[in-house]
Amino acid sequence: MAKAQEQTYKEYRIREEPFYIAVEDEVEIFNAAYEARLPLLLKGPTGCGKTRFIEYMAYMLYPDEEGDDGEAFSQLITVACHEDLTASDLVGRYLLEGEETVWIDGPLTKAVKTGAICYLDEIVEARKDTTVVIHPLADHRRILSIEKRNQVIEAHPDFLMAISYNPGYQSVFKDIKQSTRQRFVSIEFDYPPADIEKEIISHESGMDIEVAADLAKLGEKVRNLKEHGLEEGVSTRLLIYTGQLIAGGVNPLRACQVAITNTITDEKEVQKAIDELVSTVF
Amino acid sequence: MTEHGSSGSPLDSSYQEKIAQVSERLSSSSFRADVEFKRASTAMARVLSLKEFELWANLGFELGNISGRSWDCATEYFKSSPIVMEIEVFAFLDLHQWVGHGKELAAISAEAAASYFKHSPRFINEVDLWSLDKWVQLGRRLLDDHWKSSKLTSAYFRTSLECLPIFGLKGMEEWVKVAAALSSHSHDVGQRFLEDSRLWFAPLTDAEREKVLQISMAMAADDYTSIPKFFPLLELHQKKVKTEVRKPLYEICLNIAAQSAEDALAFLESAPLVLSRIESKDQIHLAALGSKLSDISWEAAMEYVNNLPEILATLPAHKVPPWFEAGMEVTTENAHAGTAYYAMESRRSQEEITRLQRTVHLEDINRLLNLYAEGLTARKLKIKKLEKESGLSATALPTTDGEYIQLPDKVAEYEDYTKNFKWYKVATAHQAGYYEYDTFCFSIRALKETGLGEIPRGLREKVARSERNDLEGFFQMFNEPSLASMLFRLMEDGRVDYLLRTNYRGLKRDMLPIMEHAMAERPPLRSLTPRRAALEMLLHITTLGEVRENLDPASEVFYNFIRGEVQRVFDADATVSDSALAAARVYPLIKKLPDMKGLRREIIEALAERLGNYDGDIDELLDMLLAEAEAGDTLEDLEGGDPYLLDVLEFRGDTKPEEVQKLMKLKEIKDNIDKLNEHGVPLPLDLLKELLKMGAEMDIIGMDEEDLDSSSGLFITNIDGLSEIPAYKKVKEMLEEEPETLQQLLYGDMGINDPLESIYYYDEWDHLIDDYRSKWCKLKELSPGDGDTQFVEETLKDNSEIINVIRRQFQLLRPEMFRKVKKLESGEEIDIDSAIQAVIDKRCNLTPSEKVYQRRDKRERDVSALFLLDVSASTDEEVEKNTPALPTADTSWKDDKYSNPGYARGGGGPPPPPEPSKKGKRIIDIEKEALILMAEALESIGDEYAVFGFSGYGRDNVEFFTIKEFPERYSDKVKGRIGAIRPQRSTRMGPAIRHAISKLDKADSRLKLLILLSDGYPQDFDYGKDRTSKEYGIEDTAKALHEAREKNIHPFLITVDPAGNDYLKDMCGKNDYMVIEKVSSLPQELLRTYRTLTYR
Repeated sequence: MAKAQEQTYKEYRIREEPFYIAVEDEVEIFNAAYEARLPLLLKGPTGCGKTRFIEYMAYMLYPDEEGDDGEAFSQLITVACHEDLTASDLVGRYLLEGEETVWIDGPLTKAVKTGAICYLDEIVEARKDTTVVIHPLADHRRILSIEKRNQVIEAHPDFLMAISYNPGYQSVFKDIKQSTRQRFVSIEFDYPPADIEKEIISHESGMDIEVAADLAKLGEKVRNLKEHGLEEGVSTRLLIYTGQLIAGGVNPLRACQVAITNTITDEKEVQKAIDELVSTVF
Repeated sequence: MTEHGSSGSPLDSSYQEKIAQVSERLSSSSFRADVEFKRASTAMARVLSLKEFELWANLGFELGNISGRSWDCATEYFKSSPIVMEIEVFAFLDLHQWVGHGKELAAISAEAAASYFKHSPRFINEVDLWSLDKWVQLGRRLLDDHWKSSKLTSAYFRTSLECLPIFGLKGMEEWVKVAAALSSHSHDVGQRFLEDSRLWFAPLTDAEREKVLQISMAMAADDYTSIPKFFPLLELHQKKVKTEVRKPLYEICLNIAAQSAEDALAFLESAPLVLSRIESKDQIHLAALGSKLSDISWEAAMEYVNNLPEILATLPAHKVPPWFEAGMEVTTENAHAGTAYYAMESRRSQEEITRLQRTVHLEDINRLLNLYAEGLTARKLKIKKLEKESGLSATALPTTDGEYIQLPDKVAEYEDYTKNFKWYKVATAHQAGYYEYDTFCFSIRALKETGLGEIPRGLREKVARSERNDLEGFFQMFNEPSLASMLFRLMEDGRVDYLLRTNYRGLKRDMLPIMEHAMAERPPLRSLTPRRAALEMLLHITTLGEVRENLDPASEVFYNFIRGEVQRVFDADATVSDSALAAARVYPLIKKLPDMKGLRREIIEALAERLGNYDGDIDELLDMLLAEAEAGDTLEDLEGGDPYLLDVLEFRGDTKPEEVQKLMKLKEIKDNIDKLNEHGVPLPLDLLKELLKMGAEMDIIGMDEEDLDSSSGLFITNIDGLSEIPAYKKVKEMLEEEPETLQQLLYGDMGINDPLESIYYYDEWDHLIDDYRSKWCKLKELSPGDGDTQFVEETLKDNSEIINVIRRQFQLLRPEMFRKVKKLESGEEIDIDSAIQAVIDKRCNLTPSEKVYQRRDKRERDVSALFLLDVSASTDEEVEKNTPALPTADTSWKDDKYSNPGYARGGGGPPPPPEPSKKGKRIIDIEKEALILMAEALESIGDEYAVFGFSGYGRDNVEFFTIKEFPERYSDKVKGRIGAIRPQRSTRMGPAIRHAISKLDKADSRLKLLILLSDGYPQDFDYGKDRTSKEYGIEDTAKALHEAREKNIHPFLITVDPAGNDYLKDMCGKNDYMVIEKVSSLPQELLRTYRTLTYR
């Protein structure tokens, strides 16, 4: 039986080029921003490829190579933000080990030290006071202060800050503060246009391009219903799941039903309408 | 009447003598009469003269001597006399009349007469003397020569007095008739009926009583024994059947009872059981149908009602009426067949049920198709029922108008529900396809670019030179625009369906059978004239891709040519221009073919010869054919009617693309006008320019139109609400007069000239159309005026003690900025106490606790609260001490001047707000006090807050009073405004809530509260069509509150309307409201509520 792979941040590397098709000029923008070490904010609905993009860029910027000290290090450290995420969850804390207290670096500190990209996913979910610790890292200072250890760390020259957020379902009170927001270069993402999306679906799900094109078409149609009880349109990720189910031998109509219709809404009438769109396309 | 001495003094000796005389005579006849005489005589002697007294006594003898038993009656006479004399209207002269009735009765039955004398004084007293005759006559009806009838009549005199208030004297006639009818069979039953009547009839409504009497009459005629069983059933109905349902039920029952009392009883017995199986909202309606049926056939009606649960198990309630109506037809012709029909035994009935089961009704799937069309096109296309008179489509076929897709209201063409549904789906997809594949984006400009060279020459120049750019302009380049239009539509339908089929393989699966089905009933080609045959061929090719009939050689040539042209549109990249091009290329041939059967075969063959054997460039031939065709070198048409008419396919419908183009253009103008009005933003100059340009162009369209009248009328009326927008009217007027001043006018209309008033427009929810009415309400932000701070100061002074308590309570609410949570398994820091403990434990060889960390939780109070105050006229009501009795609604709108729409629409000024009354505290004063205390509390805790009031009269005048905005300080100015709040007009809550939402939406707190203080349900004179209905206002308010929740705003409504519980649960959700019974407790309750709402 296959076992889950346990890897520390140190070892976890993106070793193969992640599949990514640029929709607009996001790759160029990212490269330019990286040259100037400008922090980046990726905006966009769920499942449109923000995380994949950052993985792709991380790989492209540091293809499988050794770090400065000859050790392999992660190119990308991702933190999924949540309501209880505290500053010390990011920076690090003392832990008891035996009878000593040992300082453990948090993911942010690790990234700052090793020169990885630190990617804070869904930044708005984190508490506002937490997000403030990234401020000095996200401007010209590029420093991280660790009060508890009385330290100030200057970021590794390769270090890059990136955050993401989804403007769609965020309520106003979960908006990003201007002081945070204005430290970033923002790249807006949306679901890719049908002709690119079909390539993505086809590649990721292994389905032939015709089915992938139909899925992309369906995605487009379902997204047209966005205002009717759908918080967000169907994501590329879901379309890929659907493709994978179809590839696994599930009848396309059924696959769409379980992966799309039932997933994105609970409202019966809207579900029916989506089912009709499904049976129109397939 | 004269008095002879007061009651205490002894009687005159003459009277005493007389009494002794009479008594002596009486005692020899009847001891009891003598006793009663003596008892009555003193009282009588006091009011009667001696002569009168003698007469009175003699009348007693007369009564006693009528028959052997009539002394009983004389006894009652003496007994009642003093009572009757005491009645004010009764004079001595009336004695004869009174006794006269008694004598008549006594001649038949002494017992009845005795009962008469006993009860008549009460009758005279309670009704009057003049009705006495009628009352007695009714009693006489019950009297016959049977001895038992005496008892019955006596019972009548007794019970009728009890029943009088129930029936009234008029209604009693029917009642007595029933009793008479019953007693003709059995006096006992009749008597029991009389005696139980009060019990039975009292709970019934007037209408029911009438029906029940009729039923009783009918039953009595058929089987008198059913009556005792009948009434207990009524009692059961009172408990189990709704009043509104009882009415039709008794109508049915009456019709049954007229035929068979037994069946009527059985019906009444089973009815509550049957009804219990039917949803209560359907009961009235379905029962009313039964009542209608029972007029034709009672047996059928009985079957109908008894089988209702079964019917409802097979058909949804809204489909029962059509099934019922079909049955009515059957029943009218043959009652027995009807009975079988409603018993669901006849084949016709079953067929009808299956037909209805398979019928798809548009209303059931309207929303679904709405979403479907929007999904396909990404446009806000709506589905609605076909309007037959819309002018867009002559036939009842699917069509579209740029905003709606119109579909027939039901489809039952196919044998099962699914297939009929699929028809709807395909028809919707086809109409939506016009938008998806840009049919209405046709432009002559684009056509020029696509294939100017391929257009036949004569036309080519027209296209190249064309000044118009729309479809209609294109059609008019042909000598025969209607043919051009028909050809274009065939090509375009073909293109759209082709694209739908290629892009959606699922839809293709559904579309093909529908196409086959539609094409199966086409006329054979050989039966048509050559021109119609060619059109028919075109239809075949654009649907099925081929003609399946065997063709003669000439037709074969035409077929190949047409098919070649259709191939242009059967292409994944084909555009609407290709359809136009293809239409233009087949036009010459079809125009040249005669619309005439059988004649001059050789001409057709010659044409086929030319087309089939042409060696050179086909385009040149087309040029020639077009020139010939347009030159009129064709044979005259012998067939009557429109020579180019072709029966269109139902699922493709009948859309006139050139009209839709126009309508869409107008819609665009309308949207632009709307944009101008939105939120009172200043009008950008370039937008205005665009509007002017479009407006001008719109007029040009109108003038170009040949039949100006019909078409300009058409597009104005077809855009909902366009002509109602004031700005639009003005734009139209100004366009005609002087466009230069339009800009100025638009600015004026938007209130930009008056910077003090800001105007906002809000949609309003209309539950009847299940949609928002766009920009329905105009809301003005006003200042309540400047007042002095006196009111606030006085309130503070009066409540100084409470205020200190409040401040303290609220300061306690303010949490510390950070709270340390200790003893955690993980945390930001080590909790040194726990850590030391753990180390000690370890040293002592105990298991140390792992909970040695601590975390600092930040608890910040982050609240924005908006208080919205109802300042409607009803808040002017004074509050009596501790009385919850308050007006439940504004009364102002009922006033005549408010109901005059001309007035409200600006015919005069606004109705004056009520004058402030000086006495006592009014609701508004208490609201204000509550606000002031609240403000004190909020100032101490530091929450952000804003205060507004709202009122208005009519949808054009929603008033929103700014008392305190969020960023404003609680200054003397604000205090002055609080003092200046006065009761205004109506309570249109929806727009006020929406405006409050827009204010709160800008605040960036974690918790946003919208607290509404009100004194009644939402109301305004035009809040919904039916102004007596509260529902519209409640639904709209509920929707507005829902919108608030969607924006993460927590709405809460506090009302002092004691009836609030009835509607607030639906309006606000069960937790978001509070009804305050004691108005004076509002301040405390408000503070308490605020604390609970904000403290977590």
